[in-house]
Amino acid sequence: MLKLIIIHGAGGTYADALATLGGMLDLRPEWRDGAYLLDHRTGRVARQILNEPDPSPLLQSLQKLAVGRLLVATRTRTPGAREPGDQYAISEEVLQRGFAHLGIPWALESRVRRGKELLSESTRELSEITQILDTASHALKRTDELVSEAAARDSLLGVATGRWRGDEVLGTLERFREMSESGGDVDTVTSAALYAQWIHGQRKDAGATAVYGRDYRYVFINYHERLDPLGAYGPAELLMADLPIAAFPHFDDDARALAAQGVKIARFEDHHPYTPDHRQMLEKLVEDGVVGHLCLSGPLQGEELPAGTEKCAADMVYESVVANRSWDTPGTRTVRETAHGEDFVTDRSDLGRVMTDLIKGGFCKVELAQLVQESFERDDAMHRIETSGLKAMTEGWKSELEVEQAGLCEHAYVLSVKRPEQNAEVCGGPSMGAGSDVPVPVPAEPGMGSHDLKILVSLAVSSKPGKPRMSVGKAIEYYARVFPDVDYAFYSYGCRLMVARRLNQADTALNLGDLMPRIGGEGDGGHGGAAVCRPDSNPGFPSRRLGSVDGSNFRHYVRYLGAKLEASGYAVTAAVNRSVAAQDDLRKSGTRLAVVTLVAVLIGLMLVIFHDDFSRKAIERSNSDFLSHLKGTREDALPREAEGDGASQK
Amino acid sequence: MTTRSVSLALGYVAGIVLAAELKQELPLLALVAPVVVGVVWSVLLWKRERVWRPVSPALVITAALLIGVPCGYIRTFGVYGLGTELDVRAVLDGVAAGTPLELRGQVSREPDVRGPGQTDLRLRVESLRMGNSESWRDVSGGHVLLRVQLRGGRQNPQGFEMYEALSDLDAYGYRIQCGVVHRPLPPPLNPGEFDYASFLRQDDVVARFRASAATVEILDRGWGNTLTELSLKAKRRFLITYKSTIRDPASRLVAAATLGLRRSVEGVEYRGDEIVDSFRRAGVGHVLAVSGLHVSVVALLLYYLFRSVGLSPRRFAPALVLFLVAFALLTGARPSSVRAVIMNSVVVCAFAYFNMRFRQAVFIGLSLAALIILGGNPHVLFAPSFLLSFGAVLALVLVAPMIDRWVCSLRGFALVLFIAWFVGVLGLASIDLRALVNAWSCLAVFGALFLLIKCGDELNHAVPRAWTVGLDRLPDGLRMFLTAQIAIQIGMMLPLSAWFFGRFPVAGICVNLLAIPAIGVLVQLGMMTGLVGLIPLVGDTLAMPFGAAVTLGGDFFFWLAHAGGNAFPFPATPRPTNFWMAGYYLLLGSFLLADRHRRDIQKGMYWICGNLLQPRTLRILSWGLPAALLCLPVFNLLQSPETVREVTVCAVSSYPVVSAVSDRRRAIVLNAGDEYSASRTLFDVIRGQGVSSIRSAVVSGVHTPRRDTPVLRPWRRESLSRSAWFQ
Repeated sequence: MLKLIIIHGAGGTYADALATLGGMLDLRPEWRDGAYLLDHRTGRVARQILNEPDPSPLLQSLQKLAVGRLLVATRTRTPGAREPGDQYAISEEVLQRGFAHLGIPWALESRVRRGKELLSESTRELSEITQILDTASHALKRTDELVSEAAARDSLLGVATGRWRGDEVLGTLERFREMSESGGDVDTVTSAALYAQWIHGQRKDAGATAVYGRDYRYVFINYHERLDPLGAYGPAELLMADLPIAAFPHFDDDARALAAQGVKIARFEDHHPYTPDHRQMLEKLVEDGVVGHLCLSGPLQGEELPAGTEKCAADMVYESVVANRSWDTPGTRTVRETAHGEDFVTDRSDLGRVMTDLIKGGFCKVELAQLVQESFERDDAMHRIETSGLKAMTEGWKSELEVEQAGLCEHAYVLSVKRPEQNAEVCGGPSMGAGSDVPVPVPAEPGMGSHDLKILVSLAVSSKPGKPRMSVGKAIEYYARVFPDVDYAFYSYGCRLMVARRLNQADTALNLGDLMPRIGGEGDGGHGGAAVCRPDSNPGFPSRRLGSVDGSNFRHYVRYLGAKLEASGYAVTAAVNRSVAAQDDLRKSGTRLAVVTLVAVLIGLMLVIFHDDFSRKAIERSNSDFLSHLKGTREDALPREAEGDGASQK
Repeated sequence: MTTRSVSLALGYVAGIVLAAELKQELPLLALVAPVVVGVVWSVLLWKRERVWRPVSPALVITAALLIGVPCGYIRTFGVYGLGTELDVRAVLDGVAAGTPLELRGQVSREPDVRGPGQTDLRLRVESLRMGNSESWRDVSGGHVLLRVQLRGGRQNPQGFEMYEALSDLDAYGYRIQCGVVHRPLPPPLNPGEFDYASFLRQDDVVARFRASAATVEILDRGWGNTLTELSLKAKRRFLITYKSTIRDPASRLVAAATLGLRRSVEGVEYRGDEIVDSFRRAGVGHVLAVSGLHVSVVALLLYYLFRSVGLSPRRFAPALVLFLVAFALLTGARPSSVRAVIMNSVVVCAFAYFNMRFRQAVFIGLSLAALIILGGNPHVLFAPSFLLSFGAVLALVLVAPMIDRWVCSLRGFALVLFIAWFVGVLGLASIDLRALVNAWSCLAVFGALFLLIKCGDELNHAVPRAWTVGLDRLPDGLRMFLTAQIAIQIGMMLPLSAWFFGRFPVAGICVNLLAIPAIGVLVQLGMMTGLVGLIPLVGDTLAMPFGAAVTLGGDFFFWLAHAGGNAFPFPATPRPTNFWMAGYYLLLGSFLLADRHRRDIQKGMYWICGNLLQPRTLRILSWGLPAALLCLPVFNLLQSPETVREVTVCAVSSYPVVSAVSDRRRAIVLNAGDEYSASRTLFDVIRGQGVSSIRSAVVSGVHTPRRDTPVLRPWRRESLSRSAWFQ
């Protein structure tokens, strides 16, 4: 039976990216209420593509296609078929701001006509893309087998047409893939890899070979998300590790519903805190045959684990399905220790650091899990990461981020929010450190010592063409390093879009997917640890007072967000300005002005030295009639009609 | 905060207008009560806003108006209404014409040297006595203008010494006594004539006197306001430096542009034309009055200087504001410079302490400036300098973004054709301004614009690459500068030039593109020349290279103004009626409102076009409507025979000056007078009657007229059809 290995967070693969690209070719926007509406998933991608500051040629063609479809949709009389929560709006401002060079006429007829022209142009440019999509899709999937991400990359590089080179297509697909990545940590990725190793080992022992896609595959579930979508995979077994039960309030219902569809939870292994109710619920599920293997190594409510006995999910999976078996290798032990070190921030290794950097920077978690699993045999995970250029990539990210450092922190405030009392013990807290999702142990008495939630609210940096692109993932990763005490980040593109991310994976107090619709509009949301909203779509948004949010009124916007959090039931205790002043651009103008002045003065100096008309005497003589009273000479002060007298008297 | 401050200022202005129109004393309670209500209400609304609860803007505005209107009324009525017995205006109103008076007072502003042997002093009268009376009567409130004249020249050494002393900048703060004769200013005798008394009132001056320097006695060479005294001392030093380092006439230009000495260029010629006239014709007369541009240049210079020594804006903002205040005092504290100083100060503080948005800071600064200036003297509301100064800033802030957005939306051929249309309109205005004054012609001009843009779009569809061409390709600063120029012309220059001055400088649109950056450099260099000159002992020598550079800049500026003024016409414009002005600004306001709600309008239009109109119908309408507008001037041909509407016989000394104006706003004039009666009296009268051209002119006078006499110069080149001279 197919085994679904759960990785927490969100992610995508090249296959998903191909599907996204295909979806972009088939955009069906609708013009309504002054904006262009798309279905949520396509709209999110379309918006990111339209906002791409430095698009590749393929992305430019896609932009042209998208704009063309939007313009043509202005006249399309499509009945509003979408549910309010299922639409994504692209405003006229987005078009005018970013695509005036394509020609966005105001008059309706001209606009639709222009849209058709753009469609025609882009269709010509993208005519070979459909062929690429077909070829690539076939390359990535053979019957029920899915190729690994590394193999997929090689295949895609070889896919080329007359117009589009493989690396161009690959670059675009990687961009799409990156758009899907959020959340996750080393522990969940290594747990998944260890599960995969177990499956490979079992098959090998049975004289067969495990095939990705047929025997197992990696799927994503985020905190506070329902498990229903897993039913789409058909009869399967779920392998769940590193998922805090407190983050899944509907776990019981979802598990039973999945079981009814033939999807059973084969293993549930977790190290996060839990309550007696959680334990009871899970044991009941085991009793009812919904859950197979259950192992909870975390502290029960009110208890503390003895020092040195903590286990991360990778430890548990290793001990339960890998240790002392034929598939137990030095590589598995290395990776297990790596995960332990990252989760508990102890004895951190280079491998752990670079894996954390990759995950935080938005690298594909599926590819990372596959790389790690392939490294078990030779214990060469670090070598693979280095030779594939991934380590250099993370170092490049760091240097790029240093360039943008001033911009990222130019407008940054930290809101302190009182942690909700009722579930302080199991909602996590400050993590052990960067890359860890293990909360610092809380004392026995409830409510004591649990620190306030810290939410970083920052103004997004807009990348200029030609400069390194500042993706949300990179920005979030940067904030996680620079603000280690912060639990959540609200990265704001003015008031148009706010991206919320959980930085502290050990904290589950906030369900971002629930919170964002309260700050934004009904259609907003996402996952528990990653969500987006459009604050200006909230009916109570003070557009008159805030207007468009930028650096000049960002502090007011932060105050407003604080008020929204309070209205959502959270008590905001403080708002601290952690901004770092950027370099004053006026200095550049001042330098230019100084140069102009210097040149003028040099010319003046030459005149003074070489031109007789600019000598002191000549100048004073020329000004003899001008404000003569200043010097006080009698002759100069006489009115003109009396000058004759003065001259004769002289 | 912006809504509140703007509403408060507008309410205050409304209060002034009401008081000036009604001139009725209202019960104090009726005025104070709304103020109290307004204050309480505003506080309650502000508390609600603090917790982000929705507050209707209408309520905020109403509360602010409740405060502003009564305050404006109270303040103005105190100036217009019956003053106390001690009020100098009230006292002088009770004095018969021709009565000899003696005045005692303090010189409240730096002396204004009008020419050789004539200096104006603004005197705050403290006491006066009449005729041969022994006792002095204390008075208060208001100033008088005392023109001190030097009579007798060298034969009058005492008078000469006194004249020198009173013309010097040090005279500010002196307490003087002088004998004058009371001659009340006569009201205007002819319709539309310049009202000198009203003009003086705008400067808080209630009367004008003349005195010989020999009859003036300096009672006390004391100091006035300390900051003003220090500023004037610096100004004196600046002027001495300019005289030593900058050649004439550039020195005069810099003195005017940097230190507010507007009269320094009067009577001076460049290549045969008076500089003041050249500047007016070229549309750059504004550089001679210290206003926002100059103050902003000085503010930027100081900002860079402070930043260059490593100080943060939070630290040096107070010092910068102080310098700007000193600069305002140094330049005579006229409304335009005071407004500019207040605004720049607000912007500096907004950036330094509140990280406020520029537009918001500008609105708050404008409101604050208006309240302070009008609080001092409500009459200033009706002064050209006040309206032009505020109008320019409002045009920049309100109209320029709309124009920028709109021109950026024009692409390819549509943009090219728009530029051609703009040039065409300028040419039309140069040839015959009636085309823009007549309603049918105006509509036709706009119809042509729409048609050209449609043609441009069609051409773009035919040549798709043209869509990539647009003004967004220009550097932002250059593009915004260009649109700012257009915005100022539309928002301020066109209507207000016609209203106040009766001439429209066509050259201004083009010349200012170079003149404004040039004057910016000139003011900076001029300030630096003056500042360097302050260095003891070696200052003048060190300032020489700066002065030489300024001389070059000044010469370039003169050349630019002269060339521009001669290359473009300077047509006379009829004085718009109140109705026309209201209509113009209502139309402009509706454009601004439409721009603000452009998305809603777009939504509505697309719905109509998409649901109610077939594509074919839409196409016909989009071409047909502008074409129909183009045909509207046909109605001009369907006019009844021209008839005389009114005949005006002007009161001008002892010779006839007559105008007959037709129903088509053309005039036949008879001028038996001199240049003054033509260029001032007759010009104002027929302009006030809405005349835009002279059909026939009969010139006859005791002074032998020549063909090229300047008698009818205001009309000669532009709109005079026939003329005849008789001796």
